[in-house]
Amino acid sequence: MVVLLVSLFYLLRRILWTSGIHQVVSDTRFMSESALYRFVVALVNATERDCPQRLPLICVMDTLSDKNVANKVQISELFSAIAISVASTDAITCSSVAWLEMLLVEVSLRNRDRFGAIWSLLINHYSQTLNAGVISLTYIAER
Amino acid sequence: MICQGVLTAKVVQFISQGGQEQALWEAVSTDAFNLHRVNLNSVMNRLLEFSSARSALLLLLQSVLQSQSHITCWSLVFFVFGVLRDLTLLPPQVVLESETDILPTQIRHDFELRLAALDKTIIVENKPAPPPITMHTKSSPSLLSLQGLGEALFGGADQTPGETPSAETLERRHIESYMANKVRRNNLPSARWDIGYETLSDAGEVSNADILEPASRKSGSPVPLPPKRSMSQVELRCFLSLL
Repeated sequence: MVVLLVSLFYLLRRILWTSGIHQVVSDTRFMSESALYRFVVALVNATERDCPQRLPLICVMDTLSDKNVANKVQISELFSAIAISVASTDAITCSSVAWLEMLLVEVSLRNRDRFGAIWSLLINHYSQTLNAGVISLTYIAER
Repeated sequence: MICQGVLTAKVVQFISQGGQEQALWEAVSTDAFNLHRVNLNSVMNRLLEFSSARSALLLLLQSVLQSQSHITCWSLVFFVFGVLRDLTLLPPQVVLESETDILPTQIRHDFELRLAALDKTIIVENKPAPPPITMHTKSSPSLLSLQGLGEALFGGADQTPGETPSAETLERRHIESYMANKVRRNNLPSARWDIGYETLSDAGEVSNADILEPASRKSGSPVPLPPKRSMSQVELRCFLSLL
């Protein structure tokens, strides 16, 4: 039974390795600016894990504009359900959060030709995480 | 979440409908509550025990890859990625730091030059300013006195309390604080982004079997491994159909 589970683990790992999951970051170059913005917003929120509630709430906020008035009751129920579920959230580890931070850097560098679309998100994120708000950085140091 | 098969049906529906954003939203939001409730062990157990869980996960990843521009709920995707990273299921080239620079050589060179110029600017700005020219007060000895003449010729013996420390002192303090910070950093619990992936490094330089099978297992009992050949998208779909 153990051997079977180990084999399944290796099989699953192999499937994931060959599924092209590594292209997610590199393919952000082909995203539209709005899609890239959503991507970076979610990534920034995932790395700022001081407030894990932001993870699912962002999902709802993204779709609020798509919902009509009749669905507002459902949305409020959705909010309350999310709030309950977040209380029992088993968040990802600090290592994964650090890895997502690396992903953020890579995504930013790969999309440096349209840095302006995500710059406001990045500067807010790094100002908060690096606590750079207390000092005034020069233009180059900021970048 | 995944083992219930709901996500599978919704993702299949999403794919069959040509990637409609609303369908994907409903799919991920329906299962988001369950996804945020589980822990790593239960995810691993479900992935290993239930074939529907594996197929749902792979279908979700496939839909993410094929319809990136239609996804509004990336936070859920990153959560799944984080869980997969914690389970060391992600490819090493995604997690480990690449040796090749993302920036082109020219841009990197220009950036380094600008940083060097910035360092020079900061050093010049941080240089201690020359001591201000002060007027002699009544308490200071006159040049006509013997003590005043001696201090004017040979300099004062002691530093005044408000005098700025020398450059050597500043450098020593800087080094001491740096070493103290380094020791403190080393004592912190490790949270490296590539923890667990160190043994899986250099995916492109070693064979798939070496990557898939840790060195500690090579000497143990033989475990049936998948073929070494890389799997194409068509093969992956065939595999999914078998699941």
